[in-house]
Amino acid sequence: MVQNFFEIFDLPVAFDIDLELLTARYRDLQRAVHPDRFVRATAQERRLAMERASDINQGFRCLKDPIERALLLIRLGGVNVDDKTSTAVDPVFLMEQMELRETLAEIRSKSSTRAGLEGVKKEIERLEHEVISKLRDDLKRGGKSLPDALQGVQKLRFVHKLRSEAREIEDAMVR
Amino acid sequence: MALLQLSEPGQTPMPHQRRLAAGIDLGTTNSLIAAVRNGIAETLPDESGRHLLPSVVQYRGGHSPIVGYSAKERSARDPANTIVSVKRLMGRGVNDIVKLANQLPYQFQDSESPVPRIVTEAGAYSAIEVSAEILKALKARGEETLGGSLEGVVITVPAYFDDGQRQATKDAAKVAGLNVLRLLNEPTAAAIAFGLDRQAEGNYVVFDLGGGTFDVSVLRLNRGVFEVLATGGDSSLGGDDMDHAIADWIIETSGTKDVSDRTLQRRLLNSACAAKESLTDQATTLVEVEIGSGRIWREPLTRAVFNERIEPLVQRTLTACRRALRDASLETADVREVVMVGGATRVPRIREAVHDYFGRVPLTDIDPEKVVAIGAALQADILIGNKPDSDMLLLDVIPLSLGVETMGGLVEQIIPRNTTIPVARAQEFTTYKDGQTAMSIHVVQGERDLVSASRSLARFELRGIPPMAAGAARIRITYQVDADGLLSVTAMETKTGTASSIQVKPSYGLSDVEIETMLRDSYEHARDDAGARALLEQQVDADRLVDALGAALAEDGATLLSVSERASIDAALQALRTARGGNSVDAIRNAISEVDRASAEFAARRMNAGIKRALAGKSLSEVKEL
Repeated sequence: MVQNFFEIFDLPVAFDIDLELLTARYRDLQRAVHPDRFVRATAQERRLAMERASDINQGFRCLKDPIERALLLIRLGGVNVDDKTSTAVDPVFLMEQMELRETLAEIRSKSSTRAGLEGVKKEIERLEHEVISKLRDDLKRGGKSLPDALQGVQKLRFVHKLRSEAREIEDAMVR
Repeated sequence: MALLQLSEPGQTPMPHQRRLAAGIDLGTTNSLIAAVRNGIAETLPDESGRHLLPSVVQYRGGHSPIVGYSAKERSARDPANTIVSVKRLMGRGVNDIVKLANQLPYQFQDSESPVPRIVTEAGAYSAIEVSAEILKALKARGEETLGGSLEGVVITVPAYFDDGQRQATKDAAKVAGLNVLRLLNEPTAAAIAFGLDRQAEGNYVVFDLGGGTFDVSVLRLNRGVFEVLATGGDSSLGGDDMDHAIADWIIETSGTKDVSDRTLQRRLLNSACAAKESLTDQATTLVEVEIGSGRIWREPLTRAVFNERIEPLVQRTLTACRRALRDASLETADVREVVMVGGATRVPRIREAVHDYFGRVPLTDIDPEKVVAIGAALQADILIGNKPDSDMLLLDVIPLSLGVETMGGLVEQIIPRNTTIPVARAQEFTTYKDGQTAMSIHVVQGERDLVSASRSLARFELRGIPPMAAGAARIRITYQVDADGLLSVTAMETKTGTASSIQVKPSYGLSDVEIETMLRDSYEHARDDAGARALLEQQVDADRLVDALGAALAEDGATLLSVSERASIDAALQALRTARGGNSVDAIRNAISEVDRASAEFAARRMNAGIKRALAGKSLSEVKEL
């Protein structure tokens, strides 16, 4: 059974989410159920408070992260996200991200200029935008498009990996 | 109302009466107890007006142990029976102790138990029992000062403490007869003491360098909600290490060859500690120590040389700060204030390094040794229910990742570091042999990929899996970390719905049987009737339940229950009242379960009503206005 975290936060089941509202609801909910509020309650209520607070924490963590949020939507649509057979990523995208990775490696090894890094960062941003907008559409369509959405999640993981690599290089330059 | 009249006098105060609660800072070097009195949180002094209680316990054959200043004074003469810095040993296993052994003047008992015991002339004691002696002394001080028995305490722990260390702290409280409302992270306590919860929104760093532990925490404050964004630090780094650095300087400069003598070690450390303290206000201090047979060695130590000696320690603190900020995705410029906690932050070089790194003057106006206890007292006052209007809420995180051992000695992460607690994660396993009815699971804590580099928390043996073909069983294991950061594990075979029994073998902690033995030993009258105590415990549980459920029914009974539902809860409560008046432990226990069963639906409805209220009327526009 997949737990529908959107329900806990009383938010529409959709990829686009109002992060500010989510955060505000999260705090209000924790204020209502956190075990600190039940220190003197019955053992039963204390246990219940711990379980609810755990669910709310897990739900918040899931919903605020675009990858986890997308996976939840795919699961809610009845698709097994652990099934590895349908996740072969399309070759064009693979080429693109491999090129970016090579450029990053080059910048790292030559301790090249900031300008070069800025260019790659822009390119990663563009790719992320593209992947997310396709993912959003696939999730909206649902049904038969969900396996495509799962591919989109896979792509987003690649992009995030690239982004954190770029950040590491930038950190090293600052030092 | 009739329901409340059952309780014994003193156990359930009248509705508007203040409940007695206290905050306890169980420190490496010193411990304190604080309470809120007349609206002010303050540390409680002993009869001589001293607020600190040195965390030192001396065991003597045939006498009860001595705790505090008198024990500390005797530590140089009787190092083997006088336990100092016991916090460093909390939740530690025999293997950890071997690493620390050359710094410790104690003898450890050879035994099969995973919990090391220090051999003294009065017997062998674990760190938990030694800590319990300190807690008992604080409890006595608190109850005498406040004029009644403590209903609950908040005990602080370093944010960096792992599960084993937290469990050991809670066990020590149990042995000392204290009801723990919450284990609170020391840096969070400090932030509360400084009133940061009433300040503007923003990010705050708490830099806590105590006697034996270093903690750095990044907190975010938003509309009364305190969120711990990240914690870091080092559970074996503190002022004691500075003492060791000076002791090393003495050994080198004086050319002392043989330092195997325990009393010499203790004298060296005492002189080193005194030198460290005087270098806070002075640029130079004269170090005097008796080395060898009556020979007094004297040499001036300058602050410059001291600073040089401790620089590696200073750098380790800054590295931890850098890492904590990175975990919180913040830059030093995003930090609004830095709070200094712990006696070792009096060292000028530390203040200077923190000032330079964060680019702002750190807050030092509350006594750095009292600040944690004061914060704990404020939190205890809220948790016990003395400030029903407070909307402060602490959202804490798990300091170290939890994982399980997989094939090849690798760790599979279950709950990553800095996840907000409480938290639960479920994992599915299957069997690899036909008819397999048991499996073993090894839970570890730490950030490394290899089991051998991680800290072993517990081994679980799962039994009672219904026999099936290999790979057919679906065993769902749920790891639950509670608000104190403590782990519990449950398992269920989901195809048949069979709950598997779990046998827990804590890697370093104590089994329930060992705790029971300690509890028994800790009673002054060894022949105290175990049955009478069990009855008393059940009666206390019954009273708590009657009290808590009575309050809940008064609040929501009319709106959430039908007449017949209310009647069945009342009937169960009446049965509990009758059982409580008798002297059968089992009858009371059964009546308690019966009340739990009868009120389960009511508890769930109350929780749901609370959630509904929290969500009600919070439209987007309203939220944005705040």
